[in-house]
Amino acid sequence: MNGHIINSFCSLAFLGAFVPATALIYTLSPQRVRPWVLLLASYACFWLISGKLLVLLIATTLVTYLTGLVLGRVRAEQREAVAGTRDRAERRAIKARYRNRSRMVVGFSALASVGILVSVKYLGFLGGIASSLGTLVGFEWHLVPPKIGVPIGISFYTLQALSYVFDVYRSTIEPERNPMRLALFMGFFPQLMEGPICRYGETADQLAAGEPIRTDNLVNGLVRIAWGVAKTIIVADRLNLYVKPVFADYTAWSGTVIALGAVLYTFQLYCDFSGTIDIVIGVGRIFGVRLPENFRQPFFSRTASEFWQRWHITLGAWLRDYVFYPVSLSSPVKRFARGARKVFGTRTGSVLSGGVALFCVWILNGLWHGSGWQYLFFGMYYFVTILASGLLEPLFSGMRRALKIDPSARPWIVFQVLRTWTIVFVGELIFRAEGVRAGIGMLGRIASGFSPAALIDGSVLAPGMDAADFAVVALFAVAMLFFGLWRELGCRTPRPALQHRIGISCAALAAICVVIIVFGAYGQGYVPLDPIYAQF
Amino acid sequence: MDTIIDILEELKPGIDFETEQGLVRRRVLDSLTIIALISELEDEFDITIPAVEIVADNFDSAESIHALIERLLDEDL
Amino acid sequence: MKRFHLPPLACIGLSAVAVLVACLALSSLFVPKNNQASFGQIDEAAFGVLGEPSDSLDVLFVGDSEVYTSLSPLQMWNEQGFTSYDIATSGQPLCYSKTILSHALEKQNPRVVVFETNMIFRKMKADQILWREAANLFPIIEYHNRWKHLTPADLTAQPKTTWTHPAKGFRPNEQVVPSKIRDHMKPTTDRERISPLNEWYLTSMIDMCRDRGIKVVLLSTPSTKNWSTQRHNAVQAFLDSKGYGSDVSYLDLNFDGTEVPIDWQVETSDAGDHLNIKGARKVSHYVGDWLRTNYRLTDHRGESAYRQWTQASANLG
Repeated sequence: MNGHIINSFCSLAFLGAFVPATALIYTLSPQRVRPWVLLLASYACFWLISGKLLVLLIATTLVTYLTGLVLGRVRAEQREAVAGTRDRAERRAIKARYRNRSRMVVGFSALASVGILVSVKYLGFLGGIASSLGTLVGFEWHLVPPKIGVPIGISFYTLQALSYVFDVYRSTIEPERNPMRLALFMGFFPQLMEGPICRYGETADQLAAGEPIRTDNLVNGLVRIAWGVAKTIIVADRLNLYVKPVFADYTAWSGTVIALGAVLYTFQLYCDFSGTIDIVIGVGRIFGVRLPENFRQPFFSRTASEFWQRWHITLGAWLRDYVFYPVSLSSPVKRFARGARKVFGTRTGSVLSGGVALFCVWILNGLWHGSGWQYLFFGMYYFVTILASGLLEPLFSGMRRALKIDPSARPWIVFQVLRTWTIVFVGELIFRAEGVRAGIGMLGRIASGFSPAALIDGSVLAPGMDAADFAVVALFAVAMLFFGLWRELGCRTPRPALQHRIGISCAALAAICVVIIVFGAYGQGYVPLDPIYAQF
Repeated sequence: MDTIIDILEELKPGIDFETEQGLVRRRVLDSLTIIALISELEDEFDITIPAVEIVADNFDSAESIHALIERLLDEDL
Repeated sequence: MKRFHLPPLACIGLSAVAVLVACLALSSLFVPKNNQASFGQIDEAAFGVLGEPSDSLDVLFVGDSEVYTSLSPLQMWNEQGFTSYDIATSGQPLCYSKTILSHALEKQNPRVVVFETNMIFRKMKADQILWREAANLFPIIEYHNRWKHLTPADLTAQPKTTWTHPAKGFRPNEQVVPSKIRDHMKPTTDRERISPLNEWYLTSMIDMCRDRGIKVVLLSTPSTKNWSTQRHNAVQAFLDSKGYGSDVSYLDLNFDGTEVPIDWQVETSDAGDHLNIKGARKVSHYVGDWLRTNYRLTDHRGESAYRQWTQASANLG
């Protein structure tokens, strides 16, 4: 047996067998043993998904653990050395010396964990670039790196490892002495596939606490799981009937179909990714672990940059904290910023210098998703869009004033939201397209061949989904819009008494289960979608 | 304190910085403005604000920014 | 006034029971009201077996596409006079074989059940098995997609099974694509591994037959792509380890000695994966003769109870 037993969290094997078994053993174990149960379950889960590649997770965990210890020692030595002197200049010199040592440790550790990531995920891509560069200068070489296979969640746990090391370096957390706690933080099984990307300070204590399973956590966790399964099985898997053929060969379809395909793909991605995250958070909840939210009604965003603060939040926050701010506050960028502000004025100058950091963020965001030119293109698309909106903001606000538009008026907000949708739809089309050329071809086809007539004569229904399927998707979209609006407008559900709450949740749970069984897009005629973010 | 408010008003006119308590949480300041703010503050007070200090708690109001600067000035001694 | 509240665990239990009851109720609503595709029946060719009169079949052929492309029940009827049916579906996993076979054995008591051996090596995913077992309990899981086509009649009608496949499950292929593989049976003592789960399903089906006094045959149909000496050895080793004696026999049509000579230039439809109609004729003749001789099957031709077989055979020409 070597992996591939569990393909998706949205599976009977995981939700029907693995999670209940783990929960049962967890409950029966004494509190001190429970974190070990979780760790063992996590490694078992990893094994069931990726088999022997488990060694790569353990390797990264070990490197990260040792880095923490070394950083801790460097810090202790620094404290002693600083305590030995009262002279301010000398203290600064000592601090600088130890900072350099810490930096080297951090650099080495990052190199190791990123090195593992790059060698399993990007070598093929880099080899391809090197080969074509070679051909350009006249070499005939073909670099074909050995195929190791990509362990599940490597892009997620590597970021967690880095954030731990950076946080220890910045002294926001103490280095962890207990390797089990760090291993559990790195490998907690619900997070393996699609995140969310957690910070050590956020989850480590909860994971190691071994809290008993509480009924309210259990029920709420189950409802959250059921809701996530519904999004995935009812909507995301169903939309595959439409999305897959459209993106497989776009030349076969009209501009209208491609445009609808891009819209439906965005919705599919949202349901698949946020649905999986719902399952993850629900499973965490059962074990008393509050994992961070990864989505906050992203489709109510008024700008593209706001969208990215509300979609895949933990990745955006990671890039903000460990790339954007450090880069913008690094001394060369600061010097550039000072110059730029003098030349172009405060506003444009700071946008330009922030642009340097933004560029780093988006190239990493693109690359993080995978080694393909379309992902780089996707990153650059957002970089340009967000930078342009920053640069043109004075122009826009001037226009708004000239046209006497009230920026807080409802219609204007709706306009902004729809504009953001368009930007996102185009972005996801680039993201999903089979290569950059296909992406551009598809955009061209939409621009040249979009006809509203196709919406009426029914030819948009051509790829794979019948009217009943569309009806289910539309109903679900309306339901999600309703819940989203509810939360967005800050409406509070009246909170019934605790005893009723569990009864109501159980009733909701049963209802969602029956709806999933009847309206799920599973079984004959449907091919389940592989969890999209699990491949990143 | 007044210096801080002056800087803020130059960067983002039209907001009552005396009372606003959610500069970051309510997204009054976007990340680009925060960067500009930080370099202005560093120039003005001759301090270095490390990336680790850029959290909502430190930048949510003029008072909290003031407190941060006081703290950094102290620590540097 | 003090009100009564259910304890939380009872709430969870109650909602689980509610889901199960709903599944049972919905199952009777969603189950196809006849065993035909137009009623929503999945894999109607195989499930056509349920439309055969009770205890009228002498042989059942269980398996994947290897079965329904190479074994013709009507040819065997014409040549040997016994009745049989292909309860075969494409890519059939053993867990599904067990489902269809159990359904068929509710109505039939055949002399022989033949298992084609290719499916013994088909990998089953954990989810596939769990899903299948759940669908066995609650047909709603299998037929849920019929919500698109439900009619008022589904509420009241009792499910019937009156339809049978015109060729008794046989679905031959006409195409010719020669096979380039020549050495799929080169001698070796290696053997492929049969996964424990697959072995468990196979054993439980064999036991199901033996409990009813039904003889079992494991049959390897000719295929250069799916069959090999390693697989032959694995099946042989499985039988040796079990000691079923005369209850279970093994017939490998690829193997030296019991080989059916196939012309791989013209008698396969897809380069050695499946036989075409020409290959199927050879195999059906051989297997029919072998079964009648070894299991002394009765010749029903001419018996009035079996008129529909003569009719079916005439209809197909």
